Amino acid sequence: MEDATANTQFLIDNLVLNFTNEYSDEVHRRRELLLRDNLRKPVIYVGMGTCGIAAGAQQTLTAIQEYLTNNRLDADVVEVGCFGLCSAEPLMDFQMPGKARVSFQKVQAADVAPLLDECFHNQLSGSHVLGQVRNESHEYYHNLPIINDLPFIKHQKRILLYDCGEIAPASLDEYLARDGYKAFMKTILSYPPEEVCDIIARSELRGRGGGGFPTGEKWKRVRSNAADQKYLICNADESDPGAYMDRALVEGNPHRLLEGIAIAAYAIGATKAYIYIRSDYHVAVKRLKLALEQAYSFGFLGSSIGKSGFKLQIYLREGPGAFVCGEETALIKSLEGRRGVPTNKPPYPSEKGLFKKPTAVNNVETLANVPLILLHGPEWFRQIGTATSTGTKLFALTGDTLHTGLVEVPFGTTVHDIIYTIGGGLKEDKKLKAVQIGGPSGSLIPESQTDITIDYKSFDAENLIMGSGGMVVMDDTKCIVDIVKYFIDFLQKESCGKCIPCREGTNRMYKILEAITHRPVKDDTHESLSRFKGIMQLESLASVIKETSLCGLGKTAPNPVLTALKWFGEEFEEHIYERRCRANVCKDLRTFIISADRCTGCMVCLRKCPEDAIVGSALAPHFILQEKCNSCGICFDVCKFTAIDIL
Amino acid sequence: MSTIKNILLNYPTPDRSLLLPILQDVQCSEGYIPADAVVLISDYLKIPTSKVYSVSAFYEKFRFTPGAKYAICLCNGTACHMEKSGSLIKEFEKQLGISAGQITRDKLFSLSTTPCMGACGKAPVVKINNEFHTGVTIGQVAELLNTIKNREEK
Amino acid sequence: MIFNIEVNQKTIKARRGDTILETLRRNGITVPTLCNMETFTPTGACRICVVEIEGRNDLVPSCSYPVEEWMKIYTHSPRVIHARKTIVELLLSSHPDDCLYCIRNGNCELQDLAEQMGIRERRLPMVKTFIKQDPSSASVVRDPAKCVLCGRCVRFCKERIGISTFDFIGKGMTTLVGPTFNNQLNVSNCITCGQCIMVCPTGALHEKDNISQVQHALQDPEKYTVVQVSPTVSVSLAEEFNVKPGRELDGLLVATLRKIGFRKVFKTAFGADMMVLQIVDELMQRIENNTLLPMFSSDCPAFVKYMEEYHHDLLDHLSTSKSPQQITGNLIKHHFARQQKIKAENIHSVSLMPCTAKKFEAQREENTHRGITDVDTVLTTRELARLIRLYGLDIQQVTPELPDSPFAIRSSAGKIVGASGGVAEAVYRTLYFKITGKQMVNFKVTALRGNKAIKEVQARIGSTKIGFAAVNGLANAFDLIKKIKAGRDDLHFIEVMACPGSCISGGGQPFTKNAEAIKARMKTLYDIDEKESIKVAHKNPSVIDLLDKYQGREYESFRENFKTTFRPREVLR
Repeated sequence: MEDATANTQFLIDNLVLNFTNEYSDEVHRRRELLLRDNLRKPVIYVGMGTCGIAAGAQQTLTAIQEYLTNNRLDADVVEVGCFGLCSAEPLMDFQMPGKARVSFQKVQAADVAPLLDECFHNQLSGSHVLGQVRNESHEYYHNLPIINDLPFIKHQKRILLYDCGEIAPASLDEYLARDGYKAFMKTILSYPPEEVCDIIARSELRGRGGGGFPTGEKWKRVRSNAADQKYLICNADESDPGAYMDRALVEGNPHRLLEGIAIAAYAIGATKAYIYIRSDYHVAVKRLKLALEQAYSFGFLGSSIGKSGFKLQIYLREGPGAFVCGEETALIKSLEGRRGVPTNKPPYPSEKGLFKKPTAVNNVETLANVPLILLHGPEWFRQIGTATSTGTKLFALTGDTLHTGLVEVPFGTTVHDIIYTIGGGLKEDKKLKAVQIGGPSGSLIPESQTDITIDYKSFDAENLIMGSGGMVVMDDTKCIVDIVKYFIDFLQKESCGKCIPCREGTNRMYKILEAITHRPVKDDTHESLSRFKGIMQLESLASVIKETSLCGLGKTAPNPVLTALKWFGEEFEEHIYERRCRANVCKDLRTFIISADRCTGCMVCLRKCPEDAIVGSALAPHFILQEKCNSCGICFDVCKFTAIDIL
Repeated sequence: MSTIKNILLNYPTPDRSLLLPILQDVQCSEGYIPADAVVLISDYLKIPTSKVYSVSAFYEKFRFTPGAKYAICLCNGTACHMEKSGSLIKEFEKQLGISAGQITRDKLFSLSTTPCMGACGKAPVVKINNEFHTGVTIGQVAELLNTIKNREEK
Repeated sequence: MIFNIEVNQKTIKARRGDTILETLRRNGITVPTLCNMETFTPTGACRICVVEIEGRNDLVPSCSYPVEEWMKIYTHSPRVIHARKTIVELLLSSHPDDCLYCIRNGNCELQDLAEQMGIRERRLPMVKTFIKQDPSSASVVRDPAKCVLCGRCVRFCKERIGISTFDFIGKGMTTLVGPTFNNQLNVSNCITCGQCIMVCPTGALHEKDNISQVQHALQDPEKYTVVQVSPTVSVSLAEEFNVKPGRELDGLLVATLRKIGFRKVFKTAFGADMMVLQIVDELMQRIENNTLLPMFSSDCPAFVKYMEEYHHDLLDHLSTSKSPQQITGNLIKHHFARQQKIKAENIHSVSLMPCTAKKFEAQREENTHRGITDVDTVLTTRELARLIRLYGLDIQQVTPELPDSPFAIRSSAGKIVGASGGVAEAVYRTLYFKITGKQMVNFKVTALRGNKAIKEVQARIGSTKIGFAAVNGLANAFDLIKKIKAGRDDLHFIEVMACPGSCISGGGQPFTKNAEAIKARMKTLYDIDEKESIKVAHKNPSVIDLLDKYQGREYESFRENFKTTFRPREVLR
């Protein structure tokens, strides 16, 4: 323990606080060990992000440890964060001294022993292999692909994800070896806060949480508002279904987030910072707690940081489950111990935020960029991306692509590239129908629009929102109306209920969508009329919700409806006028009838019908009582004589 | 009661902003927010009980009745929805005879859904207490439940 | 700083720091609102007050958005009107369709909005909400199905009453407004003041309607139905019949009540005079013994309930005198019944009050003696108006009549108790006489008048220095009570009225958004006092007459009837 502390202190004194970039041999030696360029014994890495754990990484890890004990082998087992390729989880990497690091995918507990046998005997069969990591100082294996050349990785620009899956999130030393906290220490020792704001402004970093507000500008505003206390809040309340960029960043490298927070707090003049993280993120919370402990004990946080006189306390607060708390004013209310209900802007948080003091609220991804910008300079950052949108953007690619997972691309990449080059196209070569970008209140775009480049300018021009970065790919077996209904259902349940347009409006939109995906209870003219009327009102209702809602949740809630109507209007029409769902997802819309010519009266369907909706006697054609039928389709499936038709 | 008082001892300076952390601790140690806790917390933080209740009823994590031994939580994120988590929920509801958000009469199972667990690559995902089950099909539901029931009977 | 802005293509003056809504109102431009309450911080929840600002994509809520110099505002552009109309339609589509059965029919802000927006068809799917009414409270009925979640009751109860009985429960479409644990109101800390009803735009909160009980009693040949009229009902009822606010309907009301069928019409102000005598006697005794000071008034049942819930240690400090309603009620059931040789149980005693808490007070156990309840039914001013309409009477077309003896005459001290500071002033006048033996030269105690939240006066009466205070709006009393607990001892008598503005703007009074109307009610009370010849309770000839009927021990036990007790209540605070 003494040694470990001394080692960390050595790194701080000779690496972190050494701004010359000329290090002694001892620093080099220790650094190499920590970067695992030079190993003393074999290392086994296990991807222990939430996605990995969900896929069974915990059992894999136990199996590895058992294997090592049983075979009396000595190796370091390192728990790392998410590498990003979720479809390949659980991931296990193996690295022999001097040899390249090899990644194995889909390693369940049972696969561990045979794979490790191969590894330790240096006889890789190639099964489960994802690839080997490029590192010119290491000896490569023959015939194994280089991971960095895989399309999934090659076409990304991994500046934030660079460390994820490599660095042990529990190790401060490893972060220090990668120039961790160097930017922060340099900042507080040599830059006045105004200059930090200026550097960030020059980098043209924009908020990654959804709004896309220039970060430097936000900081300057908070800085310029005089107050006895200011606050920085890190928004890690990521609750979009299908988006987990922030979680991966925190799980993969919690210290970089802390460093980003520390720099931001220094820049705006805050001595107290809060991290508001979704309480479901158990792994991330655990890692943040450990990282905070480490940062405090080595003086990166606390009452006097590096003799600079700068003080900073970071408080970790868990958000107990409310999507709307991702909205900054709601988040502030929640931190104050109130219902997470948004408030009017103005006043903006930069004037009256947490406890009515000037407050900057920044998202995890934004803050994670900050240490890198200070380390490499704003010019370096501006080179990445496009002229108007600098840097990279993380997306959680989910749905029907071959590879799913976390993707980091420079601004300027097209949606098409992400799906086809990085994501490897669609599974089973199905046809792409739509892409949903920006979380539940994002937009649906059809295949024809996927050549849009990802940057703020072209998204604004097309009225799209980047949101926090969910990207859901749908093939043609998915029903657009069903998907839109799903998103609106999510939003109406997550509406805080404060303002009428959002509370009532999203619910009414949901009711309208529900009406058109359900079989009418009674087919009288009245009900048909109300279906028809509902859809006529949908667009007008959506635009009012957009214009009048109090917060971002409501203002963006109609997006899925509006964009789906724009691009997939005919599918809505089919649902309404023909009562037909072309993808056969809206099962309720199906009407089954028995063809009297083909029915042999075998009574199979009659017996299987859960609703007793089929009547008839043996050897005579059966008949379906439509008012009893629930459109489950069992009869259709069981009929051996294809006597049942779908209308 | 005494556990709640002990929780309050961890927060030496009463302040409204501590309401959520305190509620979280109570939820964590008791499995729900007992009525007594609402009263004690309101007394301690000097805020009306109606406010304490209002705040705790806003957030999904807080419940006011004791939880089940096995909390079944289905992910209903976008990816899971597209992989038919909806039918999966219905199957669980049918098998357990309760609807989502409810608890079985024997207090063995509770059923709930959550927006996204972040294991989208493995959709649909079901979490039973802290154990993940990925790629669950409708056919597996009975099996999952029976394993637990059998374990309980022993 | 004053600058110009453009509204609907006309230039108007605006002040920095004002909201758009304030600016518009000052310039006579009307924008509909729902969640907005004057003098409260805007929440921007309802979005009905949205306006269009040139150059902005969205519409902004005028109630909370500050004016800025460059603004070009449109308050009634097609876009704005469409948005407002849609918002109201959204509310209507989840609102129970039972206006014809609703207590607020014809007096409902949601109806008004629907009418203003010209909503004539159901464009949106209807969503039914099945939530049961909560009729548990003696005073306030909660009907969450009709709640539009504007939050006005929540804010009012928290900021003006200070009790926070209500708050939002849940989120999204399932949000409710209710007490802790969504319990019933009768077990909550609700002090029944009814101010939540006054701010509720719909029928989600309303008084418990007791009209049918009165009808039954009136129809029952066995019952001898009498009524007492509170001094504040007759000055506020006018507004219900489109008569000028503040007009005293005294004699007209008496005549109307007789037409309805009440056998006797009495004045609660008689009981008020009696209460003043009780208080003065008690106060003098406490001052003499220097115990249980300061003494708090106890005629506001909402304040009494508050003390019983929150300040068990101060219950002894409440005056043990019953309220005017209960004194009059007790006199009717006992003295009057004996006098008329009617069995007390055959009397149905109705009282007309500006207050919902009086319904609760009448039901208190302390106010029933050996099975005889002092007051059987309490009707608020609003219910009274409905009762008069029910009997098809035109209050302006009757000939004024005098009330019935023996409780017909009052001093004007018994009249002004309806205004904040009135009880304190009435006590002051009689106390002055009891201590000095002399009448005051000028009866007006200016320091105790007006609408200030807390009014105090340190009076030198004879050789004693006596401190009076009058508080209206319960939340305003908290600080004072805290100071008293901490040892402040220069006050002897404190009048507390739970409702802001006291009984003249009580929870049972006609709905008005017009602050002038409430001022007019108050002015009438003091005008009457100005003109009245008997200005002190102890000079009320009927009171003197009544007390003279009892002597010695009989007198003592007679006076005991006017005393009550208090008990701690354990509720979720």
